[in-house]
Amino acid sequence: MNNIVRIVAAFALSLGTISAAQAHGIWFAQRATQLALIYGIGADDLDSVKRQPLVKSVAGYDAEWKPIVTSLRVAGPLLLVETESQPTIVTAVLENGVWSKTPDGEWIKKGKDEVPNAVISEHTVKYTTAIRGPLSSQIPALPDQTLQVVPVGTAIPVTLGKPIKVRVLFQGKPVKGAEVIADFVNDPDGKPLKSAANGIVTLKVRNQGLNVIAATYVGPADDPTKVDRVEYRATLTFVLPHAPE
Amino acid sequence: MGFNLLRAITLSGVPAMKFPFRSKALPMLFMGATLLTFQGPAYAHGGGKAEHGGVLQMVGETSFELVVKTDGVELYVEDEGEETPSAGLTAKLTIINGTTATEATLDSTDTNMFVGKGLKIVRGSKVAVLVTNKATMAQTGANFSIK
Repeated sequence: MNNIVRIVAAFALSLGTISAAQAHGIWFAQRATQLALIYGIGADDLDSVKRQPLVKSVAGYDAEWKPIVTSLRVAGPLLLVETESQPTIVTAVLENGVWSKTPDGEWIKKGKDEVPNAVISEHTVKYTTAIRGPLSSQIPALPDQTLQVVPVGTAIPVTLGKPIKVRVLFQGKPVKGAEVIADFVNDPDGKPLKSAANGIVTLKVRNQGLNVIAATYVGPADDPTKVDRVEYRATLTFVLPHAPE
Repeated sequence: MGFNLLRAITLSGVPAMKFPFRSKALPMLFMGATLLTFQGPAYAHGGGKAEHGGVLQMVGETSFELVVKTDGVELYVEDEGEETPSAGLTAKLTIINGTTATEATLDSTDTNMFVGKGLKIVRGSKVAVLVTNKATMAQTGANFSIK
């Protein structure tokens, strides 16, 4: 039976139809006026401090895309961003490790070499980019962002419901078939759109506030003895201002 | 020069508020430049008026007023409309002109004003402001673009 399950899972995977497993992501959001790195999904703002050791990089860039010294500090239950000067964008990478799903739906943080009945095993990595200032030029492919979502051009709509064109980059190049949702916080189960050959997806801006666009791309296994695939998840966050009070 | 309005625009570039300027106030601005500010809602929590002839940027409850003068820069900070003593803060400016970025730490005073004597900001520059509370290390920033 387990073999049948694995065969079905592998077939579905080959068609790209398996729903994203280990669906959590990272993004930046304001907490008590400060910029915090969030780990979670939807309204689940989970324990990011516990996961600080998994954060492989955090970076800030100025308007000319020059790096700004950036770090994270623990402040109570939050991971707050500290920069040496005001950034235009900040980014982070979280290495979430290897996970296997058992036939009964449980996720275990081990490879399939240690979970022989796993229906799927994957290596998961989370990426995020937050826009913090006006864009004077196209956000480039950044060195630590293996998967990256960037707005096409420099203009961000100012009201919800307006279209925004984003491009999904994998290893710095546009990628086809990445699954993109417009609102990872308020509609994490929304039907994703797939990026075109040029990496572009056009979405409607969902919120007159924090927007977290998420892209998921599944690549081949980096260690076939442990995993069936690598799942890359990247978010792009930006904020639309509310009306004057 | 037609700079009778100082327009503060949001992150994405749409006007969020307007400041009527009397002509005698214009010389206070460097070459009468229009300052475009970014990020954060305007008039959201009080303190939403420029009081020193500069351009105001609201970030949540915090307001930054940047005054560009011929002999330097002034920065005023308020929180919910109350002056925030600059002695309890640090302020750093990053001035980007083309591909050249210049960083400067402003000097605090005995009021809510920071000063950067001799700092030159030319038309077309981008100015990023980062203020850090010395006690809590809380950071608040804003971006200005000078046209």
